Amino acid sequence: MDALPVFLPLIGFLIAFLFGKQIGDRGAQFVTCAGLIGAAALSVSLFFDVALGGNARTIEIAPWIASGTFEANWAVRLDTLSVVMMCVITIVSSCVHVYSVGYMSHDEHQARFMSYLSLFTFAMMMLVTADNLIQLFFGWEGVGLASYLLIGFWNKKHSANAAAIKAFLVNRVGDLGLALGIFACLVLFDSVQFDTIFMQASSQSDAVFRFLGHEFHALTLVCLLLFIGACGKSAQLGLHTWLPDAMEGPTPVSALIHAATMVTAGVFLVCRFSPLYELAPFAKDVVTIVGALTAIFAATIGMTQFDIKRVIAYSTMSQLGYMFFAAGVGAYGAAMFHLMTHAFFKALLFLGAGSVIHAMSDEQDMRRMGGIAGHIKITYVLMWIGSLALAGVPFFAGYYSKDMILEAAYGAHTQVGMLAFWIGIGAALMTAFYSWRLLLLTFHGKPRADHHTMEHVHESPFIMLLPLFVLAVGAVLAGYVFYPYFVGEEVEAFWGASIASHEAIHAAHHVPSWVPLAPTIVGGIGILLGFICYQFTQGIPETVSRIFKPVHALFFRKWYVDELYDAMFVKPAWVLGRRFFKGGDQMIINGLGPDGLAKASRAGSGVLSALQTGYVYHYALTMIVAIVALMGWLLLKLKGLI
Amino acid sequence: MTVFNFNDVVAIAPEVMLAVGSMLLMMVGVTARGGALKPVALLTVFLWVVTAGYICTHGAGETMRVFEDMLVLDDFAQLMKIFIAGGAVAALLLAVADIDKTVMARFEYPVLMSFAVLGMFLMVSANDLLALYVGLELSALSLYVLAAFDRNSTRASEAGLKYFVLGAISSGMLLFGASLIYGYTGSTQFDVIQATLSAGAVPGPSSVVVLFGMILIVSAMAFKISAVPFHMWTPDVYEGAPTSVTAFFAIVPKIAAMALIIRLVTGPFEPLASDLQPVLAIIAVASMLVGAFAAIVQTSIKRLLAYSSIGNMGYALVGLVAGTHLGLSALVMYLAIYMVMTVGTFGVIMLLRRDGMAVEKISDLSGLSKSRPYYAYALAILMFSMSGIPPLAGFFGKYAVFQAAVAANAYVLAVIGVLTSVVAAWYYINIIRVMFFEEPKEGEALGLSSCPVSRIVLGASLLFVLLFILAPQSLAVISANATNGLLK
Repeated sequence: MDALPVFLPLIGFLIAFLFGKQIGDRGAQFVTCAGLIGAAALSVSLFFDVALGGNARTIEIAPWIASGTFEANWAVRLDTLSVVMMCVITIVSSCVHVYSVGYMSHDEHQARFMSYLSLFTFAMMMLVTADNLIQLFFGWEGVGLASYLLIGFWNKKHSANAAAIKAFLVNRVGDLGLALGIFACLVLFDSVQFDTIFMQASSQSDAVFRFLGHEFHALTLVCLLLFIGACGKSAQLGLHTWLPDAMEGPTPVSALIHAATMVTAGVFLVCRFSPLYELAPFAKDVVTIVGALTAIFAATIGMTQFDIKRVIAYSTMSQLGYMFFAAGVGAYGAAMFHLMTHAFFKALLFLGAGSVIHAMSDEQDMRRMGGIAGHIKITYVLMWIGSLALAGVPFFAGYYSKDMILEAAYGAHTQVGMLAFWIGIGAALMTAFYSWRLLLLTFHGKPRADHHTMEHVHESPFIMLLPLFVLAVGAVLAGYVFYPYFVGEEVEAFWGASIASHEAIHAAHHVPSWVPLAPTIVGGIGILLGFICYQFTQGIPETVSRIFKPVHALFFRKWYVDELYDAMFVKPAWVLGRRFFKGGDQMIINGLGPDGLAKASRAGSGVLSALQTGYVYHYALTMIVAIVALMGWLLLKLKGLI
Repeated sequence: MTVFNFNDVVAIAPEVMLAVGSMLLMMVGVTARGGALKPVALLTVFLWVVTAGYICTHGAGETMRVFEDMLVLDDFAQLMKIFIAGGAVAALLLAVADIDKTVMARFEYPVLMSFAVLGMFLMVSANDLLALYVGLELSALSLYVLAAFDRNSTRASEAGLKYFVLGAISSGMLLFGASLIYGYTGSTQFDVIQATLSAGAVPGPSSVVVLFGMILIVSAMAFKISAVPFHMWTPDVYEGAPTSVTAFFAIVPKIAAMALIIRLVTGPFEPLASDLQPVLAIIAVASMLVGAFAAIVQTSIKRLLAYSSIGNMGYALVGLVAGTHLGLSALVMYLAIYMVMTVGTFGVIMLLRRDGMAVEKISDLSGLSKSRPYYAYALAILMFSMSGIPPLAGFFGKYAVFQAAVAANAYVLAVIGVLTSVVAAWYYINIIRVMFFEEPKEGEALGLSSCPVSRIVLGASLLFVLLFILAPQSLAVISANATNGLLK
């Protein structure tokens, strides 16, 4: 029964995928939505039992691998960390499932789409409920697969396929880190069970790995390797290039996978391994710095983009940066808090953007929008709510979590913490600015779309709006309601043993009084700047971008990371691959192997056929010659000459 | 010196029954007016079945030598005769439907087959070079005539003539070899030859002559089983002869000739094994290679099956080269399985008609899966079996001979065998590709023979191929028992 929320999506997937044709689109939609809503209800009840009731437990399902002393089981680990994730995943996923019924109503392959969504949800649930690294890796790769399938769902579109492949390949790099981290854990602890690893962590705090004549602090190495995996999945600086491209997928996919759930798997992983990170201060600093840099880096790009989904994608990346540096300074509770609130408001923003795109006849470029606030009032209001939460305006969800992160960074009183704090403040300003740039460009001003599109602007159907309301409630209330549990007075009781340390949270409550105000103030400034640039005056953005042309170009072209990677990795890989393919595979292996042998066989066959002349005397001669040859051979053998 | 012994006649009752029966049938055919083919054929089948039944029920038990040790009656001969009779029954049942209402619908056809079978019985039981020669010639002469039986067809006449001329050469080689052996051992009787040779009674230079004699005789036998390089007649004769005759050629004489080779290798030439085995190995390898590679470019089904039979004889010889009891038993098993698969394959081909004739070209089969799905699946199963794909019967035959080769440390043979099987698989599966993945030719759907007997034969063959896996041991045990007494 406790394992049911994990497996309901799997059942939904199997039914919709295998019998999609038989039960039809409606049937598939019903099965998958029902499965998810059921899973969400069960998850919430588990949340009350496990997180609030303090009733953490692990349910063994089946043995998986048993080899010598090595053992890995299928299990459902229920502690506060996992049930929080489960609730977030199932609630957002339910919303997205229902939303998709409306959003994909014109698609030819709705059953397949719904089944992929359920598959993703199942894999994500396996990931968060794993009680060992192998099952976690299973879920990790499962979500990667589902993400690949869903990004490339419109597989007739070349750009979608390219984006799907890119996401898969970039994630491979991160997965290599994760795999190495798992191996390192196995070497160090002789186990992949979380409990065993965490229990032995302190006794291994001085262990070292020797590699190529150097000594490395074992736990730091493990943590850094795991963090590389986290970076890949959570699109942190360096391994982020796939996330914006992943927006080629249908918008519900962006909301579910590339905003609310899968991309937060990295944050979850760091929090899950908090007992190790607490013993590896250097690794924590690396996490902090990478997180902070990602936050500001993504924000700078987000300010310049025109594709509505890409702006939100960069915003997601930036917010993930916040979560990471929160974890990096030891405020795991705050990281999870922001993860949870962010899931609500970012999913809301994405689905709202989807509603806008739906209304604008699949237009995504904000330069061809504007002036539609009056036409789609409900979406407009919901987007406002999402933006207010994102910008950290007081009493919306994002306000509580983002404030907490920045306070924790400040409260760490380390150089790295301070750096993260100031970068975070800067990014908060930009966040507010690009959020309102998005709102104003999309909804206000004069319509820039052609009148044909404008005539068709319409509010989305109820089935698409309903999930938005649910998420909006979360975006408004989640921060206020859960603040005491996640990071407030109840923090110790709430998290139980699932998080190793809450020192950073406590320290965060004792910072100078201007610190909590700072994010709100810069948020306000950002909103104001947005209004000044895009509502009250005209031409400022153009002027600014002209004056700071190189800087604008740098931001607009995404810091040229894609170009850099293209030149550094992609092009050489192409050249090398082509060389191996043409020279190695086609010429040498195929030439000497399959093709060559086949050609030689045909030639030999031709020769043998040609010998078959049809003349009796040729045949007779062959026989005589053969006998003479055999006799001669025997004779030589007898004389010892052979 | 010769005393007529009635017990000897009783001992060879099957041969006597065949001889007398065949001659009676000839008389029946002559006296019956017109349309005598079917009754004579039925009676022939009846005769063979009775003979085979007699052999089955009168087990040899102890090995017997009769007529001054001219003939030997043992388990091996018994089993081989049953195979020959069974194969002949299947071939004749398929043939009747094929030749009925053609110029070939004459009563001599089954009678000739019957004489051929009699000759093969003698070959299998031969224990003397003279008995061997008589048996061989009796069967060969009948087969020459059968090859040219379609006397209005120049192709068939050409095939018969070619077969005859080359067969005469091989008979000459056989006689030349026999005379050399007789000259240096002083006997034509197998046991005496074996004893003389193993006693080392043949002095130095003479042993070369004995080896030459052996080579000549083995070459003549290789001609009969169409092993390379004595195979050249096979594709031409298979293609030119009427399809029903080709089927008979592919199924029955091979068994007799192979049995005779086994008899020679384990009997008179056993003392020369160290010199004979390499020769057989060369022949086996050459057969496997030619059988695999030459078939690739063939467009005629019958030529293809000719090369297929060449290759299959190569595989069978692998068991002989192994020289062990395991190898001989694998060979016998291989022959039985090959025979059944060949019956099935020819059954499909002769059931499918184009303009009243059996199909000839591989391209005739294109799109068969759409026009005649059952026959397409049947042929597909047989082809998969021929290429040795488990769980079909053909796999077990190949597996047994290769296993025997490996057990006898003949790794090279086993490896070549497996590799050539891969090449051979190409052309077997190519037929399946043509049937299933090529569009049928327009407006030329293949006709179907209406003969129910042929269908029963085909069905039995398919059942054997499909169900063999249920009791693979039984045939292995039979083969092992039959070959038990051969190696001393």
